[in-house]
Amino acid sequence: MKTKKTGFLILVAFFVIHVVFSQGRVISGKVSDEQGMAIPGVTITVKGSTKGVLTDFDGNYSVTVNTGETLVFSFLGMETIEKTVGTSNVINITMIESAQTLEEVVVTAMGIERAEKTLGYGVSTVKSDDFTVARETDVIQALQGKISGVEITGQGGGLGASSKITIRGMTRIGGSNNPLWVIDGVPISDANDYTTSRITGAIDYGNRAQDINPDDIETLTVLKGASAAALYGSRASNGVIMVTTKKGKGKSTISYSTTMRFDSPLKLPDFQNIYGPGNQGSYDEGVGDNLQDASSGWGPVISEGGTYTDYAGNLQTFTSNPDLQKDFYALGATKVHSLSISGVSNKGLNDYRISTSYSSQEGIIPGSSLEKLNLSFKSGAQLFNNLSSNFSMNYVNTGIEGAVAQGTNDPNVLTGIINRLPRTTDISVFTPWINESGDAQLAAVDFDGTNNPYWIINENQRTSDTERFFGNVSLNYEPVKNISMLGRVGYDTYNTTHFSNKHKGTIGLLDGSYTENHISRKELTLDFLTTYDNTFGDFDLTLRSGVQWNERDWSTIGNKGIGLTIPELFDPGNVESNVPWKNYSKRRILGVFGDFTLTYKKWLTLNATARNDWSSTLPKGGNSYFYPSIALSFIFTDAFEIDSNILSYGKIRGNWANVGSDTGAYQLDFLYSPQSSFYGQFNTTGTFPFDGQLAFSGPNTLPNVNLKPENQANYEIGLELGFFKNRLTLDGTFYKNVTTDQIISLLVPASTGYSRAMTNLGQISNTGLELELGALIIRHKGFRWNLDYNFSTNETIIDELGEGIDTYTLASAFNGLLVGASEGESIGLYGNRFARALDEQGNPIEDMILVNSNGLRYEGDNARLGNVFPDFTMGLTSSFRYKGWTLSTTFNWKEGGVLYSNTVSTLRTSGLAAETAIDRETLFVDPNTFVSNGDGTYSENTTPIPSVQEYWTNYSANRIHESSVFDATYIKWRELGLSYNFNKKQLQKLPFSSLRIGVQGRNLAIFNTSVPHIDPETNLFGSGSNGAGIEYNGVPSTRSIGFNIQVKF
Amino acid sequence: MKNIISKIKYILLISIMIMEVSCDEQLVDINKDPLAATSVPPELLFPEVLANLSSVRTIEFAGANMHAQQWCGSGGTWLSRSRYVLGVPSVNNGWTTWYTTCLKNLSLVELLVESENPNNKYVIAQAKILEGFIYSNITQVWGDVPFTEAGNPVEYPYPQFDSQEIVLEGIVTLMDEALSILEQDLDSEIVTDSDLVFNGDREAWIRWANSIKLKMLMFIANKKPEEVASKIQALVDEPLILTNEQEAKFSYTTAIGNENPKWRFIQNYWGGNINLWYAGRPLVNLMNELNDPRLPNYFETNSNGFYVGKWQGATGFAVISKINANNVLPDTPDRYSTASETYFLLADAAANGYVSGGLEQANTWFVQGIQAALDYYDGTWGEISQTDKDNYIDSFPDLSTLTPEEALDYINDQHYISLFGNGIEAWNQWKRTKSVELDVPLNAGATDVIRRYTYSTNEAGSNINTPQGLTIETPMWYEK
Repeated sequence: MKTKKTGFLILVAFFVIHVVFSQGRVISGKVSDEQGMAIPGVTITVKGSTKGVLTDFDGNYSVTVNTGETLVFSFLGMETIEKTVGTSNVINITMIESAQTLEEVVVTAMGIERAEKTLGYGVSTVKSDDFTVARETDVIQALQGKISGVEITGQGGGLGASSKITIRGMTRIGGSNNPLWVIDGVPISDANDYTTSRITGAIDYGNRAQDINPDDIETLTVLKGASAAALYGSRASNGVIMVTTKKGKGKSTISYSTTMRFDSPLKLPDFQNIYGPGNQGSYDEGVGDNLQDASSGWGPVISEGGTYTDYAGNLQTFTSNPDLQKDFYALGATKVHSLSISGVSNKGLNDYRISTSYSSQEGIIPGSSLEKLNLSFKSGAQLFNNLSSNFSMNYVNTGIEGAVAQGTNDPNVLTGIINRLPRTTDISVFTPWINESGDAQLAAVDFDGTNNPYWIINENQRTSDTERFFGNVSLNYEPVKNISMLGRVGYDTYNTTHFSNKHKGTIGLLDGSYTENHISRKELTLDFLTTYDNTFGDFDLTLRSGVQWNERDWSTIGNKGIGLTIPELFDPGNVESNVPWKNYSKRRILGVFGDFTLTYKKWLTLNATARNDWSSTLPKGGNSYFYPSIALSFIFTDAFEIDSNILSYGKIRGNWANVGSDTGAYQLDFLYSPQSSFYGQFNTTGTFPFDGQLAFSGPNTLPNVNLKPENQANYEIGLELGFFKNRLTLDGTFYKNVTTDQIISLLVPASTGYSRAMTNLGQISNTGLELELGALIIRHKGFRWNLDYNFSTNETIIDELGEGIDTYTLASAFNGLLVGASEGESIGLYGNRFARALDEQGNPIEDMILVNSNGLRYEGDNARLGNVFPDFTMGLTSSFRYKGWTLSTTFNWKEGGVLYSNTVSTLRTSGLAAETAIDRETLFVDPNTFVSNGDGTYSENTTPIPSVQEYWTNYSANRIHESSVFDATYIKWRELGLSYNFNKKQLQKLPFSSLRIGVQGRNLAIFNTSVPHIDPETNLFGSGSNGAGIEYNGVPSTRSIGFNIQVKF
Repeated sequence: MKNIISKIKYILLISIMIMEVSCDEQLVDINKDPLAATSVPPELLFPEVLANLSSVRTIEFAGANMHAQQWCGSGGTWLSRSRYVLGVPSVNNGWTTWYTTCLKNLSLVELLVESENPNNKYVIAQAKILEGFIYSNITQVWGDVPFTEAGNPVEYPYPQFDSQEIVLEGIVTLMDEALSILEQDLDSEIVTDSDLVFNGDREAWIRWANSIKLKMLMFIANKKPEEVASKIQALVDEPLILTNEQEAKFSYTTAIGNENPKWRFIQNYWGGNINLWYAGRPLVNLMNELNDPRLPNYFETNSNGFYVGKWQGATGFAVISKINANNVLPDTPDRYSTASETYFLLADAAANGYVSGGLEQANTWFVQGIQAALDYYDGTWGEISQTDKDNYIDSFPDLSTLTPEEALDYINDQHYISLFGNGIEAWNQWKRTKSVELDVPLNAGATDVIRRYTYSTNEAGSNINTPQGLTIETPMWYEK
């Protein structure tokens, strides 16, 4: 914030500077920082008087004083310096950065700025440098490990895939838990668009917060509680991420930065390289075995040198290819260029900033790429003394090619193919992948939908193209002193086109197909806000009232064309059949709100807010809901005038808030919809009209005309302490949220005729603790060592579900694996376990796993497999600075939670995982297992397994989830960056006013993980779902190393 | 100060005025979905029901052909099906489609008729027959299933699972209710164009209802012959599906998007060829023994010119016969109830003494059953010559010269053979009669032949009344 404040102060300077002439000597000088850079806007006051001046753009000042008077140099973020005027007429000052800046102003709801000191709730702020030093293309990923109370889960190495961010745990088991993104006071969409179901070859095209250009961010503030955001309406109850973009200030500056980065897989599965394809140790084409039907890794010992016909049809001798997967993945590369021009004009009355950024990325999946262009223009103008205006416009174009399909059942799912190739496969067998006439595939993997991987990469497109615009225009009018009126129009819209095709010759859709889907979202927010601000003696009073109108439109229209006539012509006229679709929804909220803030002597602040919403989505007569909040901040060090070198700052804060919420559009009426297709497994979906007949269907979700708004109560108490002149700071928060009457689309038994039913249900509570610790450990002769640590723990408990509901399903995956909630438990993973012996009450005995008469484990009941969310997360950032050098690094620890990995299950059942090659010929007795005697008693199992193949195919079968569930704990080395800022002297001969170069690494290593074969940070469901803890053919996450140059002119 | 306060008042007033204007309910009264209707003519729901019903029967549960061991999967998904890996998504899809898409829309048909055109009772009868037929599929796959409390979310949010006995008897009752409507001459409309089974032919619906009833009673008779014998006897004189023309089927067409999903599948994956579908050992052995003229219709010969089937779950298909691709054509229908099935069930009933006429009558129906099954190919790619038909029929002894057990063996073997390609029916015919000896699959960890599917995990996860502890090897209630 310091720079923003600077701009403002400079403005003020023009008015003030002329008033301060008086008698005495003229003292002049220059104020610079430790690097010798001039600091404009430093306030210089004469102690004991009201006299004051500011430094100019070059850090120079001159002031008229009398000898013996004391000059006070102060600047936000710098330690205040006092100098007594002696004989010299020149006083040059070097200011040093203060340890912590508790005087900061933060942007709160509605873009209102408030001093952090006066806030009754917890916020965390990340500054521009954190986004640009180790430049991430995705804003969310750059937050990893830096903020308490915020959980971020990426999705591996798929370019442009979404990152899920959750603040203070899940509060809703039905609705969205994603925080509200607000840019310069206006909400924008963070929707996650993906194709079809998550399980069946879903392609994740990212979440729209990724459109934000990290170079445009001045600060990013996370408002964690609901109280912080009561003024934004319901969506803010999940927390708000407020982005304030940079604005023009000071003299015209051109800034350019470029980043180059290289990505490679962080962790690849650990394969065996001993056994080739086949069954039960044998592979004999003489009896009809063939590579297409054989299991991948259950064949003979490779070194015995058997022969086989490879995918291209050539006779080969078994040879192991341990680097098969490594050979497949490419080296990813990211290039980012950013340019901005900013400054003020018209004697500081106008400010402007124009910026553009272009990134191009090539992923580790060959042929995958992402291109993004950002353009933005932000400007403000003081039109008259009492009227000012601001506007900002942002345009973003994001193009993704070769996005990755995850899950199963779709020919385009790639990692499933790559991981399952027999160890004898030479990846070059797949080139060429297409015949000369371009209409048939060569070297297909099998007839069950497994295509040549290069065919998928090169012939089957999966692209998305998104054009987005967001911006706002506001007018600020001050009709009289102390009263200001703000009118603002905010608009956010994007149009995205997803296109995918299956080239003619793709196994699974040999006739070829293409799918095109256009999604359009629009959000219009109108605000009218009146503020009254005044000071009465020791009291500062702020009153606000406002009206907000929010309208959201969403529509999609698309077509799937099946059976291409001319292979590369993707047009509805060129296909045998078309399945078109169309969806639309529109919702409106009208909110009226008020805000009352009273501060006494700057150390006691009371803030109360109230809002009433009318929502279009709730039943008429029941669509209005009211929600209040109250917050208190008490700085006891100021109140009790504690002025100690040890305890320099102390504040207690607390708040209570209540938030109501609505639901989606059209959930109330019982509706019949026309059908354009009927589902068929294995891509056999058929179309209506059938034999000329149209089809309609009733709803699959039972609507409910009696829905009530849901309700969330939030309690929060926090303590902020600063020691040793704030060189050591501590910020601790305890909170509890209770959400009741959730509007849920409840999974109901299909035997009722409906898959889901809309209802108000249950109670869920979140209790958590957050700790942020900052320490300036060393500050000595320009050397600084800062350590920032954060810790968060959150426990989500389902206090109450409806009667008869055993487990509420938040997201279901496959084979009975689901993310669910049971009364009295946290959100967990549920799935099939091994069959176990039963005690007299009929309950399973945990350590008595049963085997069948073949000595093999089999599936038992579906039960809880563990918590989906971690027990706690921690982040640690350490940074050293010396002169122009900065070395900083971030670690992130996530403890607890479980992860189901289908990749592990597949690698084991197919005999490819390293562990399946151990003692392959030994027919052991599965230890500590039991057999049922059929009469309620059990005896120890003595039957050896029939074969190691059958042992693993049963043990890790995807119908038994227990064996593929692991503790998801990990520690990641998120960032390492080294940069150097050239100083003034070094820059003298260069045309730059500043130059910084840096090298950086991201996701460098992973430690302390018990998940084999894959990176545990993964999520099949993406950011649009409440699901977590499940991996299915995920793309390996990446490690990246790069460098960055930033210059200013 | 006063001045300021009056100005604040003024501003607040403006705010309140804006608020007042805005809070007009009109502004938020936009919750009408522009792409859906609150009521539709009920017949429009029939195509949705039928297309989805058959999609599950033909492709989703194509694995039932492996469970009946008429087909055998050589690789991928199909080898998995042979090894009893059911593909739980498939189980969920089948369960959910039949209960929600099919049964729910049928109950909405009844609701719409009652609220808009209560005179159109024939439409209700059509819906009831389809409902009964869908339940017959559901119980043949899962055994005990929600029936009496199904389809009523308000009263029964967690439907009880009824015993298979109750479900089978309930289907009989549904048929009786439908028949009592259809047998009257009423001033009622009947669904015609949207009726993709019989195009509104009332007599045809009556025949189908009786045939479904017969089949259900024969399941029950396995357990409670005395209770249902008279009902079966009564059916003998009722209109039944007795000719191939009368058969109840869902006719796929060669029009794009309306083809048989199995054909669409082999087209998508195997370029229209049969790749991973081979002959199952029990069926091939039985037909080889009988020198059955349908062998070339069902299968291809292997490279040595023989018909050879494979043990389920085994690998190595070099000398095994493939399924004849002519069984999987774009317009291959989904056969709901066939004439040969009626005859074989009647013959079974006679041989068991449920109906009068003894083994002599059984023999008549037995021969008529074979005749209908062989005639089915008349005028198609697989037409069987009259000589072959005669020779085949003549090769069987007169059943009246045999013991009832021997006669039943012949009848049920023929019934089993006739259900080729109709997986669910063939599998349940085996479960009901066990006339053929099936193999326990290899590499499956199985100890017996599969009898049922596990319950949909979606149902189990949301319905506390879902029975626990059943395995895929737990026999059906109706099994002897």
